[in-house]
Amino acid sequence: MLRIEHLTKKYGEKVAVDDLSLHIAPGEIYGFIGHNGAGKTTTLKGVAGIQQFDAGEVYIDGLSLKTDPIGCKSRLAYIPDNPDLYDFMSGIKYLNFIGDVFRVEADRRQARIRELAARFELTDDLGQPISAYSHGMKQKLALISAFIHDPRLILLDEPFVGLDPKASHLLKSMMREHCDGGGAIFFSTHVLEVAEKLCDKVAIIKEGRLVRSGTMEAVKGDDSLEEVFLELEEK
Amino acid sequence: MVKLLIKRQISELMWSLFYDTKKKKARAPGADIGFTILIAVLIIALVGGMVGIVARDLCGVLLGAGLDWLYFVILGSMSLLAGVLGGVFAAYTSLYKARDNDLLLSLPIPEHSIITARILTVYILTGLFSGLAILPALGIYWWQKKAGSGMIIGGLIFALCLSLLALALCALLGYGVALLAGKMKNKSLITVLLSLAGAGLYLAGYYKFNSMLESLLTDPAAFAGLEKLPGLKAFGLAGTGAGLPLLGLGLLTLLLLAMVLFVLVRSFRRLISASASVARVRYREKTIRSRSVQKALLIKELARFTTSPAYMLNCAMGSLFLLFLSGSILLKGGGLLSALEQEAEISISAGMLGALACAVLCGLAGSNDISAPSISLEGKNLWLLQSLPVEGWQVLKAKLGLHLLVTLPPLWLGALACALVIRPSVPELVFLFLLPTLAVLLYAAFGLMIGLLRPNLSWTNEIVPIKQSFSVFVAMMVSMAYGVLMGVLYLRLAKNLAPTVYLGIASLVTALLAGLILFWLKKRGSARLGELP
Repeated sequence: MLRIEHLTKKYGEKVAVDDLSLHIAPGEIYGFIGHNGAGKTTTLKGVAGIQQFDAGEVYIDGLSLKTDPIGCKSRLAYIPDNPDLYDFMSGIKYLNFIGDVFRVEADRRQARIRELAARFELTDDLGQPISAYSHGMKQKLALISAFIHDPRLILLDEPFVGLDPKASHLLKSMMREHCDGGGAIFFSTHVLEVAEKLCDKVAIIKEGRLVRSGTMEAVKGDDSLEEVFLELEEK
Repeated sequence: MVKLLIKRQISELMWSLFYDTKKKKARAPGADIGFTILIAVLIIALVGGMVGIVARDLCGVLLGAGLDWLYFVILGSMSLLAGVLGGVFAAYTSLYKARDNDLLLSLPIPEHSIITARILTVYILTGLFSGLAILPALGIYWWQKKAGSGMIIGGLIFALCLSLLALALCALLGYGVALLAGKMKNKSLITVLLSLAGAGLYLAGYYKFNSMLESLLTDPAAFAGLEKLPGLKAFGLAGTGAGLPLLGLGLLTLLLLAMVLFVLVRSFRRLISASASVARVRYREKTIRSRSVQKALLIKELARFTTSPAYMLNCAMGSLFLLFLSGSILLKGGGLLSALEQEAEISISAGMLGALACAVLCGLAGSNDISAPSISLEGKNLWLLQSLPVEGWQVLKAKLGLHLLVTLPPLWLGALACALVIRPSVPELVFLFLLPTLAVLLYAAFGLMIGLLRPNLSWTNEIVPIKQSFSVFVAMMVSMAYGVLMGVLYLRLAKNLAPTVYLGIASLVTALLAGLILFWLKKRGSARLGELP
């Protein structure tokens, strides 16, 4: 589903992501953890096609992000850690805009919006301008817009920040449903307990380099993910 | 604290001018500074020269009649009006719509410091505009009077008072808009309508002023009776440097400014939260219709435009001018024609009129600079366009589309009005529509190119990319200059070149330039959009 090969990104002299390679298969929830500034967001932005990278390749469903960026982007959804959405639109107009861009048919779109907005309890607020939304509401709207077009791959940067416990729980179930349906999710988080319970696989990044990756069992062994992470950080 | 806040605001402005977001480092400012100074000198020379001509005529007549005070009443009022018009659109946005208002209010910063810092950035505009109107007038007056240092210092204080009065009025108007906006549903529309009503009043006043000026020049003594109006003579005398009136004006200015600041400080927090609150309307599901990607992007641009009074009022005034021109031509076509002939002191043939009408239409359409700030206005939302499955060229086409959508209908209306009055031949009629249309395409493409080359995506107040950015400034100046150049070139070549030949060549050159820039936008610009940080 997602193959990252030798991804390298530099900011001037600083190497933000250094020769990172990962493979995410359909059906997998892949957690991406690391300290602040480790290179998680840069990697996710690189995979989403937002950030140009200096070396390496990204393949989504076998398509190269370099040669077919539109094909890749039409198969994925990306939600940043602080989703700045179009404040000048109402929630429903924003969802329609995303639906139009991803060419979701009107009937299907209507049904998906109805279903997802109800699940995230945002139906009543869809007519409001996004500028009037709270951070959590914006996060929910961004999540609805991500699921609306049934992407193959979902990239989430700190998706649980700002969500209330109910929405957080809902998101976790939706992530699992998405992967059970053959999709894949690659997400970054600082909440190690969540990562431990939710992820099939996990990758730990430190100073731009991948220091460990694999199935949850293989990465943490008999320890907790937190213990493994802290141990790797201290090395 | 105020100093610190002003420094932050200036650094935001400088950031947009001298920081290369792509290379993540400051760019060498040499060429930019040189170009900005050149354009600034040209504007000062042009506006100052225009005011200077009016001032020279008035000064000769009024000083001869011993009506020095009336001279300063007229020029002082012009300066005040210019200052208010220059700063009024920025006042509301700068004070109440800055993105960092919440952040600053959460910090241990007194509200009066925030207000003072914001107001001082508006003062850059009011000071500039009012100064452009009064300083040439003062210069001519001093020259005629062979002024001493006392008169010069007095005059400068007068100019300072005018700019501060304009600032107080701007701030008061901004406060009024914020008060209304907190209670209204369609804020953007009402703000624009109110502003347009103000602009309409200004134009009506301008016409009245012109006719008054003509009567004044022929019979100045008839206006001497105006001195009976309370305070008017004292206001004018302040301009001559007379001590007591100047002191009165100074005190009045300070009092008004203090009162306005007091009102602003007292209401700031309340108005900011009022402007953020929106009456909750429960969503009722409607049938959804899907659109093409291109149409969706255009509608998104249109929504951005129509929900921002600052964007509409600062970047689409050309459309308003074109509508006004169309109405004026249709209503007073014949009269305008003879006035033009009188003014130009030449007999103008129908062919010449067609060419000149094209130049006027191109010049007016050039004051629309909608495409120039459109990249910067993406701001923190840019990640969306970059992550969605759309081509960069599709995004750019939508931005060009908005510019054309807002400019072309009033332009064509203007061309139609001209055609009805001039009654051109068929080839001239074709060029009357074709050349201005091509020019608008060129302006839209040029503005977008400059916007892509010099974006400012990290603004905290949208007025910065809309009004205070290098790209907008350059785009508007170059576009308007292109229209003027077209007219001037034609007048120079009129004797040797048939109007249709000239229009044909101008259309070809404009189409070529537009084509070149569009090609750049498609090939390089689209890629650049994807690379923006």
